[in-house]
Formats: sequence, structure tokens, C-alpha cells
Amino acid sequence: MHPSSAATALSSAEATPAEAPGARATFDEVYAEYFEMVWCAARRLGTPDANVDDVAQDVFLVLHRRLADYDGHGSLRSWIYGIVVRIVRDHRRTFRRKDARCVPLASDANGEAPVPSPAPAPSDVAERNEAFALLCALLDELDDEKRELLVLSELEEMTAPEIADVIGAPVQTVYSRLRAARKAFDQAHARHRARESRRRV
Amino acid sequence: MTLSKPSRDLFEAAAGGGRPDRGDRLRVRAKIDKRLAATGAAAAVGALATKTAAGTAAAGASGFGAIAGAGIAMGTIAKVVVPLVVVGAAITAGAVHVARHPAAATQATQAAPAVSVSLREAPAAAPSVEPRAMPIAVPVPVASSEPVAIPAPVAPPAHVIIPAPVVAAAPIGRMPEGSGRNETIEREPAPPSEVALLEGMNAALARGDAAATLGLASEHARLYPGGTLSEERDGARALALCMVGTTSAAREFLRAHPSSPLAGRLRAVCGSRADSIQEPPAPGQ
Repeated sequence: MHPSSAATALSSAEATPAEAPGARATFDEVYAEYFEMVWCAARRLGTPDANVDDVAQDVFLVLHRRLADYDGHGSLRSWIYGIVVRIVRDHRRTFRRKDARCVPLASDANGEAPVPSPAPAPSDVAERNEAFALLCALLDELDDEKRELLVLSELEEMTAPEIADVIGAPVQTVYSRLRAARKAFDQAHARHRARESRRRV
Repeated sequence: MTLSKPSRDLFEAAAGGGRPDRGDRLRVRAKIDKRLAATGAAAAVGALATKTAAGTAAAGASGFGAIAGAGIAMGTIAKVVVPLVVVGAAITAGAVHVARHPAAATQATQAAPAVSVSLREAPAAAPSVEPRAMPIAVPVPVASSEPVAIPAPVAPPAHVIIPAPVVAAAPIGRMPEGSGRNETIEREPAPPSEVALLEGMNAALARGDAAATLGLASEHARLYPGGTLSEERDGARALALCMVGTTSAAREFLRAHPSSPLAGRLRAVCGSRADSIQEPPAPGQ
């Protein structure tokens, strides 16, 4: 490799791995590219903050073992996401409901005001984290299957066929369950807003 | 049916939240490397340390396959097991044996076909943190089956198993930044070998200890300024500096060694600072 191509190689670290014809993505490339996705997915799927490291580790250990098995069918992202979903399901038994998730958010159920984040953050980051915390709290009210579907559809912006691929269910089933999940989420969100407005009065 | 407008807005606003920071990326990576080392797939940790002369090692390795799974991150590096060197206990421990033929260690290659280094996880992280750190065992297979234990200096996860002739050629009896415990073995004082130093750097990296890595890298640079494993040392140093937020060494390393097996790992670890690392080489160079 010519020395000047080192910078090019670096700048492509965020690009799709294994761009070279016939080359497979290495574990390092997959880690660099997908760590953030795996981490976010673990949290979004309801992993308590204290367990996110464990889930992410397990996902990458599975990836390390199975990367050679990836057949190039479908996107690598969906394939990895499927692994995350399964690992989170495996871990879920060990999660405790009271474990802290998605801080910072005071327990909404107690009617307390959200605790502001102690560390001052740029306002847009703080807002996003606050929205994320509220979203997590609302998703916590749903069952795990609805949560998975909503995260895949609304946050990961996957299509129903992609979701079907990830969770291993027929597309029609995904459609019908997704309808139920959206309805349940809207109801939970409406209840939350009603509580908020009562508190302000 | 789609979500209601307020719900859609909430999802949209929340999509950017809950992101990992660089510390998360590094911490999880260190844990993964440690577990990979423990389960026998050396992966990126091994890639750092290994400089192998595949041709000479191949004869000794015949009959032993490369370690399954380890090839992913070590595609360009031969992974061989040299049966003469391997003590049975090391195999049953599930460790990865990487045959090394650093050209500088000519004494070693004369005496034995290779130095076999097994990476496995010790139950404790570091002597300075965990008092129950495992010592490095140095069995002397020819003379005795009883392992001689010396205290782990900086690199508890590395079990270096070296045949007797190599122990003399590459003693690891003294290491910098010792644990403070008395040494339980009396050997001719000698500086740590290149391999031992690099193993120490690997172990320190695996547990996310940038300071220890940099200390060992300095020691290596002092003892072996033109050493065979200088590239690996510089790579370890660059990784450690990335861990503390400085990417200039990584850029420099990648300019000097664009096709190094470490390049991928450097990108993985330093990638979140890609903004600074993407800079093209300075004009005129």
C-alpha cells in the first residue's frame, strides 16, 4: 500500500467494511463500524445501563466467532441486528425491572419531575437524551415483542421485510404486530402527556 | 397504521440520544479482547504481538491447525503451534500458542524451534489493582515438569511458556514497574526480552491500562531501539495514546506502516476521532 493511501484507508473507517472485491470484513472493521449501532440497539431494546457492556461484549464475541459464516445475503447490518436482538432476549431474564434504564429520567410513575442531568451538556444533546429517556420509559411499559418491533421500525427505520428478517417472523405477522405495537405506544404516550398536563395545572 | 404525530416526534427526537462515547467504545473493546484471549482466540491482541516467520515455523507446526476463529483478525499472520515447545498443560488450558520467530532472538531459534506464548486470562486484572493476580508460569519442560513461578510484573494475563534454552536467552525475571512483591525465583538478572515486553504491552492494552502500556513501550524503546518488534511496540504505543485521547502517534504509525496488521485495530480504537485522523499526510512529504 502506498503511504499516502493510509489516510484514505482511515477515512473509510466509517464506510462499509470489506469494500475491496472479495475481501471480508475483519473483526476490527466490524467493531469500528458497528459498535455504536450495537450499543444503541442494546439500550433501545431495554437493556439496563448496568448491563449494556455485557450485552455489547456478547454480541461481538458471537460476531467474532461467526463472522466467517456471514454469507453476504441481506445486509450485514440486519444480520448483526438479529444477533443483538437474540442476545438481549437471552439476557432479559437476568435484567431486573428496577434496574436503572435510560438515565436520566426520574421515575415517571411516581409523578416526580424529571431530574435534570447533573452534567451540563449542550442543549441539543441534553434534549435528545431527555427524549431518549422518556422514550425508554414508555417502551418499558410495553411487552418485549412490541418494544422490539417499535425500535426496529421507528428508531432503526427498517422496513417490515427487514424486520421480518431480523426477528425471524413472517412479514404479515410483522405488519399486524406492528399495528398493535404502535397503538399500544400511542396509548402509553397519551397517558404520559395527560399526567404531565395534570401536573402543570 | 402509523404512530400519532406526538409519538413520531418523540421517536425522532430520541433517535440521537443514548449514544456511546469514546470511553464506552474503548472499555468494551478491552473487555472483548480480554475474553477472546481467555477463550483461546487471540484475535486483535495476538495480531499486535505476533511477528511470525511462517516458513520456518511451518515445519514445526505441521499436524496442528491454526486456531479456529482467530484468523479473522489475523488473516495475514500465520498461527502455528509448535508441539515441541508446548507443555501439555498449556494445551489443556485452551490457550493460543503463537509461534514467534523474531529474527533478533537468534539464540532462541537455535535452541528451540520457536517461542510459544500462550495468552489466557488471569482472574485478576492487574497486580496493582487486584492482589490475587496470577503469576507468570515459566515451566522448564526439559529439566523438570514443575513450573517455576515468578511474580507477574505488569502483565498478569500473559502466560509465557518458554522452553528451557529460551529462558536463558530471553529471561523475564526482571521487569520494570514491578508489583512490589519479592521475586520467588533467582535467575541471572537480565533485561526483559522483547517478547516479554510486548506481551506486557498486550496485556496492559487488553485491560485498558494505557499508562502501563506506555511505560513498557518506553522500556522496550530504551532496551531495543532497533528491535525486531519495534513496529509492534510503536503500534501499542499509538493505541495507548489513542486511549488517552492523542491520535498523532496513530497517524504517524499509519503513515510509516500503512499495511501493518495493526492498522485495522488502530482504526477501530481511534476511529471515533476520525476527524483528526483523516487528515492527509502533510504536503511535501
